[in-house]
This record gives sequence, structure tokens and C-alpha cells, in this order.
Amino acid sequence: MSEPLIFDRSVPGRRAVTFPASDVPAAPLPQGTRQSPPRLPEVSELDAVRHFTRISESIYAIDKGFYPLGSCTMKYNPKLNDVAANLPGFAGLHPFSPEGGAQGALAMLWRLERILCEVAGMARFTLEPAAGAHGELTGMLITRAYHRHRGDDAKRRKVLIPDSAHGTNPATAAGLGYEVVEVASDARGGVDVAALRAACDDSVAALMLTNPNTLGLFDEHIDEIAAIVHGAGGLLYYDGANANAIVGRVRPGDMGFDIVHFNLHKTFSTPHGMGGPGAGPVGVVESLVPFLPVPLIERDRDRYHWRWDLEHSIGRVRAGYGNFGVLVRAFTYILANGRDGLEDISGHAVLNANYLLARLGELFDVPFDRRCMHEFVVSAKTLKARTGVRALDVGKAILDRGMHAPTVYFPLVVEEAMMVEPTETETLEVLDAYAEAMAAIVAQAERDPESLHAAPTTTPVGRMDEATAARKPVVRWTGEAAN
Amino acid sequence: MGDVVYVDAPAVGKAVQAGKAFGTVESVKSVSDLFAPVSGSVTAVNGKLADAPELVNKDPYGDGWMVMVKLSDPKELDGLMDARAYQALVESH
Amino acid sequence: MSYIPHTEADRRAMLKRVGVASIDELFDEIPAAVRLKRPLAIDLGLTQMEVEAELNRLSAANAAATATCFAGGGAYDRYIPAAERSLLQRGEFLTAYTPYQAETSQGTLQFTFEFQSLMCELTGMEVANASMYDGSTAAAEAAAMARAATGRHAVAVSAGLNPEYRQVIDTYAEGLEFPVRDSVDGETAALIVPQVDFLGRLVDVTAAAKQAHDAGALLVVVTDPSLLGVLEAPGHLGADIVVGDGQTLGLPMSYGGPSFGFFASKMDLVRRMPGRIVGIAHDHDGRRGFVLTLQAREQHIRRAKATSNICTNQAYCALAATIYLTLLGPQGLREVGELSYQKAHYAAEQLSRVPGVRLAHPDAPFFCEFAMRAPKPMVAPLLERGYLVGPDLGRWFPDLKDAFLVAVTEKRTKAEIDGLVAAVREVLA
Repeated sequence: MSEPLIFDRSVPGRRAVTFPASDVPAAPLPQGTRQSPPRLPEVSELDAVRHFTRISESIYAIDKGFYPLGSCTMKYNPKLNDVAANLPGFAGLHPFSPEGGAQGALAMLWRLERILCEVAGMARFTLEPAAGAHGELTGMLITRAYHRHRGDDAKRRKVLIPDSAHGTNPATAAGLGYEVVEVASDARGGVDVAALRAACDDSVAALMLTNPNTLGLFDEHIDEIAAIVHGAGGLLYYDGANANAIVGRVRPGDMGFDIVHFNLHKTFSTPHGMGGPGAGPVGVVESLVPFLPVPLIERDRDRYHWRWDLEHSIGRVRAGYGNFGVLVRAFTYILANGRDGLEDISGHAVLNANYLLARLGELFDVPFDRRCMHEFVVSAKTLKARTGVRALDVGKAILDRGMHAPTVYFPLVVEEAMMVEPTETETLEVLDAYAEAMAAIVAQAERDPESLHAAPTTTPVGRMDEATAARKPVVRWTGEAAN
Repeated sequence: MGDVVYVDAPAVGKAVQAGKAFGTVESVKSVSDLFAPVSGSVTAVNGKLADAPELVNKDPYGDGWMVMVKLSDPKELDGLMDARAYQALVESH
Repeated sequence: MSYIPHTEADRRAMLKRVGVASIDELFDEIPAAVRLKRPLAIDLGLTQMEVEAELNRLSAANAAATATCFAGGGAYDRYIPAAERSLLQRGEFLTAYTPYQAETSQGTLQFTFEFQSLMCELTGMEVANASMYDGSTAAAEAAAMARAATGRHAVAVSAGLNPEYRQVIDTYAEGLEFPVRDSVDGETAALIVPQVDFLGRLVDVTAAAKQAHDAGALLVVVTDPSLLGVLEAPGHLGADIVVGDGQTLGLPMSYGGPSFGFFASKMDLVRRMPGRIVGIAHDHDGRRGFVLTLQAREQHIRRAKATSNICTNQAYCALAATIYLTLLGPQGLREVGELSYQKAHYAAEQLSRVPGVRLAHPDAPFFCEFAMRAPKPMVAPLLERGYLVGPDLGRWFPDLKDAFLVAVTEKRTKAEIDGLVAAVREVLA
């Protein structure tokens, strides 16, 4: 039974929230006020509560079950994080509060920044970027400013990106006018060092790299890669999407990276919130600190203040100081875990992934016969050849078994890819249940492949006709019955 | 690339160059450049594709045409294949 | 406090299945030369009780958060209904990912469709995306989109725009290498104007639309959506793109974030719009549902040719606004606007009676925020007396060195306004 649109529950005159009558003398409204009111829903509070409660029931979430979406780090989001972000001294703080009235918030931000610097091996972090992709943009703006400062920007027009990278990397670089040069993967799934060397010359601005990469593999040649890029005068950008694998074990700074972004909504457990808000703080080595966005936070003895006079700052990338409520959550998580806990996180994330790889490797092709890090990619290539059942069908079928699909068809370098990231907060029993569900799907594929093309059948809707939706887009309620 | 959902073609009067991209074609989850087989200027654009991009799938050599081009160098036609020859080329690989 | 569930027996069984002796061995492909050979220099983990105590201590050390708030400049202390706060705590909303699997995300997709519809209703536009990071980045993305849509080079930004938004546009412009100017000319892709400027003054959007369109440019209007129950929809005044920040639609100020940016336009610009868009679709049994649509614009498909690199949006904050607008309805939103207007005008009048204090722009119509001049700095001494005003304006406006902003929302009572006036008198006495 589908839930009607909230607009279709509207009855003129119904109210949920009312406000006190004005207690000041009336002033006449200015000219040019609204001719006809916006058609917002008119419902009772109970109507609204039921509508959004029902809507929530059709959303799969970590709080409901296993969510091994590769490269998304869908770990448990501790409730304490949300309690902390909603504390009145944080939630009620105006962004233009004088520094003297916001010392607690500033102290928290300062401490969070110091921790991120230590985890990344960087000199300073900006907490301003609102998401991972926003962090990438910030990092590449810093790259541009750095080369410009050296008088080198005109010739450094290329950004190197491995073929296994997230789509945001090429979109970010190309958006800034860089020529994106794809670097091939080698037979072990890492950067092809010979190809990298051939692509590297004095036209390279940077290499953007995720390590471990989206195949879940640690690039063993990282020191050589860093030497090649630095030798050509380029910078190394670390996409922190997969940092859950390495926290407390190896630091981007020690690998030779110059710029790092972390996705706090991945590694540091802030809730994904159906697609945001996230936070994508960016760290840099000492020589790039003058290029960071303003403001930066500083400490004089036990007083904290904002600093605005960075010599070569790229400017602001966002109003305010970043997604503060997300930063509070990440800080809470780090306080709870501490250095011992952080090391356990990467250890158990990698243990869970290798265990599930051992089990799923019996059912699917394993494109790289190596140890994985926090995630891994298996392929349905053989299954498809034998039964016609594709990665997409497997993903949809697992929804019918009450669990979430892996990321499918990514990374692009593996045919029929299924990318699985179990995270450290899942129990052995959950991993076993997933492996058994996958085994049952493979058995069903052998027996009755047709039935899997129709999956899912137990969800509120089946597979959608996306082509018609894209040809004739209906993207808002118009008040007509056609919806 | 599957079901075409949108065709982004150049305006009438725009120049196209053989071998270069002149527009894009989109399916639900992919997008591809359209490469011009010949050089010249666009004289007409198929307005029907705005409402019915599926014509590209259904009738690519008829109602699903995209643009008409006035050739600047008719000799370029000599280097092109017809549909049957192209099909044979694809199948031989 | 660890959230890892493994027992010693679990670990043993799993390591055995993987074929290694220890967890450390799982990392042996990392070259020894780069590995961290010491523990991180971070404190040991704390229990939940200790963490909560520490966070309470830090939260309490923000006196500005508990002062009576008359601060403005883009973030405002509006009332957040109880039902909204309660619904937002549901784990389904907090802990789901982007709705890539439509079959198990219909709720996310449906509320997003409702959100887009609400933004269109407020702004008078035909299509809205599923949200951007905030108002400032939405304005910068609007500049980029206008350049792509018009094939023109430059953007013009009105002097009254929030100076932080202007800084963000300048940063993007530096990176994307396009000029930002103060006035419209033949190269202008977009004129960006606020509907209510940073100093609270109402802007003639219709005149701006004529100016932009006469020059062949698009008009981008930046607005506060909480005022659109009273103010005319920018789309009805000639805007081509309407953007702004959604904090005022039911989100706490939270020291500036998270909130969301909204982004709405005419339908003919939709293929160049950044960010996610949800549309209606049907499944193979004809059941109505929702999907992410027009995805070929986005980075995960178009990669280097995407309209923007934006990936995550601010879905959870967009949900907050959807619930907020549902609970308020057209009448509630109108009351928010009217009450803020009335109370702000009362406050301006009362403050103007204090000797030495005067409105910076006494002849300009304003909505619920205004700049006051005073003979000495006011922000810090007023905070000591329990009132938060500001920001000080001299930071951005050389001719307003002696001025600060005062914003009044529906939450402020006459008694609180009178209290502020008394405190101002006391500071100047």
C-alpha cells in the first residue's frame, strides 16, 4: 500500500502548528507581498506524524539491518553522537556569536582538528568542506593556488586519476578546467607504475588517489608512486573515502600525500542521513598551510579564536565554519574510541572484509587473488555466463532477503562488479547470514534464473521504469491528478 | 547503451566536423558523445526527439534521425560504411 | 567505549577461516617503510558516561547559545516544532544511505519529491533539486550553471549579497577561472541579487530581472525561504534561478551548519542543473513510485563531463524542512513572516528612541532585520547582559564601522525586545 503524497492529504483550514498572536503594535506590511499563498499542505499534527512515520518504514537503514554497500562505510552510527550534536550549547549557537561566547565550540573544533592531523599525518586541517566531494574541490583549489603561486599553473594542466577512482575525482578536476588523464590499473589492481611514469611530466598538477583503492586493495607501490609524482613536480591528493581501512595503521602523510580529505560520515561514523549532511575536512602538509581556506582556528594559551589572514588562502568554500553538527558527532565518536579504539576499528573492518571475501569467493569470481582491506570486489561474470543472472539481479534478490545489496557495477574496471564493505560493527552471525543468503541466490540462479530477473518482489515497489521517468520527467507536484 | 532518454543536438546553423563530437545521447545510466561522420553545417534538427527520444532506438534510420548536415566536403562520404558493412565489421571482432 | 562486537572466540574463528594468525598480519601488504610504528598520540577511549560529561562541559562553555538571540546575517533563531524534532530522531532517516536502491528507499525518494515540490511552491519555480550543501555553495553553483546555459563568461553580483556568499562565489570563480563583476554587461551570464539584502533591506527584484534580461543574462535570486509566506515568489518576479539557505525552515543554527541549500529553476534549465533530482516512475506492475532521475547529468555517470562534482546532498536537512513546512502549512508560514516583520519593526522603533542609537538606513523598507548605528561597540557588552546581536558590520562595510545587525524572529516576545532596549540603554548610559 503506497503512502499518498502529503499534498493529497491536505484539507483547507487544517492546522498543526499555530503561533501566539502578535504582542506588539501592528506595522503595515510592505508593498509587493505575495499575491497567492504557496500551496503548502494543510494537515493536522497527527496526519503529519503518520505520513512521515509511514514514509520512514519503507526506508532500509543501518538501524534495521546489514548494509554492506561498498565504499560507503555503513557502520553503526552511535546514538550518543546525535545526543551530543543536539546539546543546547551546540545546536543553539549562532554562527556570528562572538568568540568569547563560543569557547566550548571552538575548543571542540581545535581538538578535532588536532586529532585529524595526527590520524592523517598532516600539519593542519580545514573543517569547512561540507562533504567529500566538497573536500576534493577544496583540495584541488589548493593545488591550483600552489602551482599558481610558483608561477607554474599555466603549464600544469593535467590531473592523473586511476581508472578505478570514484566519479567525483574526475568531475572535480575537470570542473576546474584540468585535463583528466586516466591511469590504468596493473594486474594486481594497483596503479600501473610504468603507465604512471609515462604519464608524468611537468604538465602534471596532481595525482588523485584512493588508497586502499575502490577494489579494496592497498597499493603496494605507494612510495614509488609518490616519488614519481613528486619528481615531476606534482602534488599527491589522498581521497579518504576508504580511510576506515587504515586508521591507526598507516597515515597518508607518511605515504607521501600532500593533501588529504576524510569523509567523517564514513570513517568517523556520522550518520549518512539518506545522502547528507556529511563533512569532508581537508588536511595539508606544512608547505600548503598558507593556501588553506579561511578562517582557521588558533589557540592562545587556553583561548581560541578564528584567524583570517592566511597569506595565500584560496578564500572561503562555504559560509560559516563547516557542518558543525557533523563535526560534533565525529568528535564524540573519536572521544569514545580513543587511540586504542581507532586501531581496533581498522583491524576489525579488515578482518570482517577478509572473512566475507573468503566466504563469497566460493560463490563468485574473485578478480584479484589478494588480501583485501576493508572492502572487496567479486564478480558475477561466470554466474552470468552460466545462468544469465547478472550482478544487478543478485543485488535485487538480496533485498528480498531483508538485507542490502552491495554496490554493483563499480568500480568500472571489473565486469559485473559487486563491491562489498561489511564494516567492523557487524557480528560474525550477520556475515554468515549474508553469505548464506548469497549462496541461496546462486542456487536459485542455477535452478530458476527467470525468477531472479523479477526480483525484488517483497519490497513496496518492484524495479522501476527509469527510462520513461527520464524521458518525461515529473519532478514536482502540480496539483493535477496526473501524479 | 540501452534505452535512449535524451538527445542533445546542436542548433541549426552550427558547424560540425568529421570525427569530432557534436552532441550527446543519454540513457538512464550512461551518456555518450555523438561523433560527426562528415563535416558541414547543421540545416535541420529532429524536433520529435525532444518528446520521443525512444525513436532513436525504434527507428534509427527513419523517424529517429538526429540532424541534417549540409556537407562541406562531399568526398568525406567515400570513407564511410553503410549499416550492413558496419554490422559485418562489428561482428567480425 | 568500543562499538565492535567481536568476542575472542569470534576473532579466532574468523582469523582461522581467512588463514592468518593475527589481525596485524592482515596488513602485511602495506610496505613496512610507510607503516605507523607507534600508537596514535590521542587519548585512550572513554566510556559513554565520561564522553557525555565532557561534551556537556564543552556545550555549556558557549554563553552565546543561551543568550536571547537577536543575531542575524543569514542564520536565525526560529521555532522548531516538537513533532519535527521527534520525527527526525527516527533511525531510518538518520542511518540510510543515498537512495540508489529505489525499491528499499521509496520513503527517501517520496519525501524528496515532496521537498522539491515545496521548494517550487515557495519560489514559484518549475523544478528544484534534492538540495545542495548550503546557500553560499548553491549561489556559486547557480553562477556556474548560468555560464553553461548562456555560453557567457562573467557573473555580476549585487553589493547587497551576503558577503560570505560573495566570498564563496569568488573562490569558485578563481578555481573555474571566470570574472565576478559588480554590474551587468554584454558578457554577463547571470546577475545574482538577494530578495532581502544582508542589511535586511527589501530589494526590487522586478527591476533586477529587467536589468538582467535586457542584457541577455539570467537572473539568480538568493532568498530566505521562511519569508516566502509573505514575500512574493521570486519566480513571479522574473527570476530564472532561485537559491538560498534552508536553515530557517526548521533547522537549528548549530554554529552555521548543517543546513541545506535549495536550488530551483525554470524547467528549460533542468539538464544543466547540479545535484540529485527525484521523479515519479512506475514499476512493471504499474505501481507508482519514485526514482532518482535525469542522472546522466551527475558525476557518477558523466564523470569528467558532469554538471558539478556534487555527490552527497543534505537530504536529512531537506527532510527537516519538508516536515517543518508540512506542520506549518501556508497559514503558519505566513504567521512566521508577519510576526517577524511586526516585531522587527517594533524593535527598530524602540531602539531608535535610545539616545545615540539610530537606524543605518532609515528610509529603506526592511523585513525582519536591520542595521543599527551606535556610538560604541555593542555586541560584547550586550552578550554580557544576556542578549546576542550582530554581526558587527564594519568587517565588510567600511561605511558601517559603527553598525551591527539586529534580527527579530517570531520567537521573540515584546518583553524580550523591551529587555534588549533596556540593555542597550544601560550599555550607553
